This record gives sequence, structure tokens and C-alpha cells, in this order.
Amino acid sequence: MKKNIVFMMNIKMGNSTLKGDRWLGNRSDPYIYSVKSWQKWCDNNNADLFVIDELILPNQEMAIPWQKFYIFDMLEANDIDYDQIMYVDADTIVHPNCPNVFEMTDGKYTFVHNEGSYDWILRSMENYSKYFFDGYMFNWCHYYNAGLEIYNDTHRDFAKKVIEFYNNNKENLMEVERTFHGGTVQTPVNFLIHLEDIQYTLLPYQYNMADMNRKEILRDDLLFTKLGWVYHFSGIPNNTNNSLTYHWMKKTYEYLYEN
Amino acid sequence: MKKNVIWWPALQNQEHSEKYGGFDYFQYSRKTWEYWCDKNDVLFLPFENPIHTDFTKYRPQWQKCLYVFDEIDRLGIEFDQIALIDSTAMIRWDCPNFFNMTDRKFVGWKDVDNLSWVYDSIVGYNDIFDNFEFDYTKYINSGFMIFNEDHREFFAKLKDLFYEKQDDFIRLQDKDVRKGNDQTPINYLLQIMDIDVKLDIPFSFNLTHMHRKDMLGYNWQLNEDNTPLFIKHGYVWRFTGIPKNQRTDLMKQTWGIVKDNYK
Repeated sequence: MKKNIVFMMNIKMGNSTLKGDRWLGNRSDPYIYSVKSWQKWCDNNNADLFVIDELILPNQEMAIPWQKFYIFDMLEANDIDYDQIMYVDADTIVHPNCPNVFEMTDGKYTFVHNEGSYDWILRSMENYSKYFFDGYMFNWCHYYNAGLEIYNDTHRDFAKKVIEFYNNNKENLMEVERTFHGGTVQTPVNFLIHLEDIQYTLLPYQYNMADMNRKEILRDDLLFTKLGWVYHFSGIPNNTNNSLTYHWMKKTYEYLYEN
Repeated sequence: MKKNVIWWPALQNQEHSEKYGGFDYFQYSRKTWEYWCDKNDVLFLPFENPIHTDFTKYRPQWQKCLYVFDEIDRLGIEFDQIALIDSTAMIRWDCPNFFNMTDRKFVGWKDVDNLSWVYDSIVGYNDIFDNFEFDYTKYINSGFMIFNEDHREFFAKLKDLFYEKQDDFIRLQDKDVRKGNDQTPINYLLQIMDIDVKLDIPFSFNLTHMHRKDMLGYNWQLNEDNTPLFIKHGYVWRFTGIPKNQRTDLMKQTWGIVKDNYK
């Protein structure tokens, strides 16, 4: 019987020599808490966890976030039959009682609007719009955070188009990313979703709680654990060497799973 | 013929004048709404004379909700839909007519800016709502709501509730909780009465906490257009969540940028 898959990329890049590489050093240390939490959630929801810890292509050739769109090929290569696939970032922790989000998709591409800095989001949209999409814009209130997205086999062609888009624009994409720091894959894929007229389901913030500090809920009493289901430890200020990500993920995991 | 109405509360609580940096900001809000109403054949209805002058017992935030139907009836206005919009808001000259987007439901926008504040407020009022199991994912901002005749009963119940628990509300809003006035009780009552609230009109129509959203700047990277992001991408600009005494300056500056579009 086909099962639902939760897919994560937990790439170790401790030996990276790339200047300014986001994955350098111990950045990935806290991600073990993410993997463990999703494993337990999968166990409770009849899903399988699929974790990639090696790159398909060297980071210099294709930045890590783009490579998740090889997921259909990866599952096929591993003879894994699937119903739906949920990609989650490795800096998320799921609450053990999180409802089964696979039942909320209506069979559509599913994600959560990106709450956060709209200065960053709108600049990113405007910049990518100018350099790649001929000035096209879409409803920015539907701009989604790529830290959680759900797809199924009907989206295989879309994933191919994303990879094609990358290959056709590789040099320019790298240049724009270096110049504007407006993200890697998230904004271009947001555009492609709309340009390819992919039907989508928007889940509420509770299913991908990004930028919690901005909403004043990243508090020592772990208030956020009372307000939603998937905690995304992004946008944390003064997060040198990812140390605060480690602090919050460890504390959250221990509170939810080891109490 | 029935018209849609913009119910625009602008009561001046002089006791709080210093805290609010005065009320000069009303004029900038008003100019935009008058223009938009004229353009969209909507009746602009300011609420400037309080029903009660004791603002400690009857906060302006409460009066705007408690007496909206009374005042419209008293004035003999035949209305279709009513949009209650705070005078902290300015509307962009070309904002689409949101009355056409309501599906004739009660319309609100989720309040998700400062979730800590929202949570504390919900918990703080829970006792007087008999520990009602509140769904905070549907908590809305009461500074912009759209409703119609079908919701008259809701506002009547709200008034009953207010008079029944007025002392409790004053205690909670002034002393014990200090997280809002009308907003959280409205939210409780909406859920208790199981009102079908439409929540999916884009929040560009109710842009609250614009500084928290980082929308006061412009795209300095392209450097082609220095229009602030909230003006460029938003329709209704709510000057909330900022130090209140900065509101007039910000709204005045905004008017300086956009005024030529309202001629």
C-alpha cells in the first residue's frame, strides 16, 4: 500500500570551503532534533521518514535547496512507492499531536504563507520578477515559505520544470542570489507555482510557524508550543553560528518529547 | 436605494490626548476615505459625537461597536453592508471595492502580528466567558470589520454583554489584562454565537503593524522606485502597533507622498 512520505535534507557540510557557506561548520548540529521529532510523528501517522544526508550534486553546482526537487527521482531510485510527499526543513520541530496534514491537502500542492519580514519578501519578489519573470507579480499575500510543502505524483512534471528552470538560468540565479541575498529557491518557485498555474492549498500559520521571534512568541516558556504544530526556527536575531537555533530546538524537543 | 456604508469612528478622548499625540491624524484618514467612498458610491459616515462622554466607562473602542446600528437607524440610513474602519487607517486611492468580496458574510482579518499579545488577551478574558474553548486561529482584528443586517443580532448581544459585564471589562482592560478593549470580547462572542466569519480577503486590505512587517521602507536594492512598500503593495494602511504618539507624524508623511492621487 502506498504510504505518505516525510522528506528532509540533513546535509553535513562541516568540511565546506565555500566562503560564507550557510551550511559551514556545525550549522546542522541541531537538526537531529528535527529528524527525531518527525520520525515520531511519522510513526504516529502511518508515514515514512526519508532523510537525505548526502548531496545529489555538489553544492557549487546546485545549491542545496534546489536539490529537493529531485525527490521524485530519489524515491523512484530507492523503489519507494508513495502517496503524498511532505518536504520539511531540518530546522523545524513538529508537535507530537500535530494533526495529519496529509489529510488537509485536497490532493493539491500545499504550503503555508510566509509570515515574516515583508521587506525581505517584497524585495525578493521584485528583484526576481525583474531579472527572471519580465516584471510579472502575483498576490504577495500568498507567497509561501518553502520550509514545508506537500506534493504528490501529479507534481512530478512541475519538479522537472523547476530543475529545468534552474539549469537554464543557473549563472544568473547564482549572481542574483549573491547580489541581493533574497533567498535561493523559495522565491523562484513561488513564481513558477503561479506561472505554471499549479493549484494549491494554503494551510494556516500553525503548520509552519516561521519567524516566531517577530511575533513575540519565541519565549522561554515556549509559548509557541501552545499556539501551533510545526515550529520553524528561522529568522532568529543574533544567531551566530546557528547557536540559538541549537538552543531553541534542543529545549523544544526535550520539552515535547522527553518530559 | 440601499448603499454600502463606511462607519468611521473618530471620537476624541481628550484624557488620552497626550498618549495619542493628539488627534490630528484623523484628517489624513478622513481625506482618503472620503475620496474612496465618492469614487465607489459608498456613504462615508463619521462617528464623531459620542453617545457617552465618560470615556472611562465607555471607551471609544466600545462605543463604535455598541451603537453602530442605533446611529445608522437614527439617521434613517438604508444600508446594504457596513464597514467599520478605525480612523487609524488610510485607504489607497485605487483600492478595489471590498464590499464586492464579502459573500455577504461577516468579514474580518486574522490578527497574527503580536501573537503573544493575542494569547495573553484571550487567556485574560477566558474566565468571564466561562472558560469557553476559544479557537485562537480565528482571532480577528476589530479595527476593520464588514457586516450587514444579518449581524444586527450579534451587535445587540454584544451590547447586552457589555452592560452585563461592564465592570469586569473595565477592570480587565484598565488593570488586570491591559490587552485591548472591545476586540477580545468581540472575538469570544463571534465564536460563542458561531458566526460564519469570512477570513480570506487578503491582508493587503488590512495592513496592521506595518513596522513589524518591515513595510515602511522601499526596495533600495533596485533603487528604481522609492515608494514605501506598504503604499506600493497594500490597500488599507493601518497605523497600529507603533508608539501612538508617532501616529500623526507617520500619517502626515504618508499623506505627503500620496495626496496627489486623491484629486
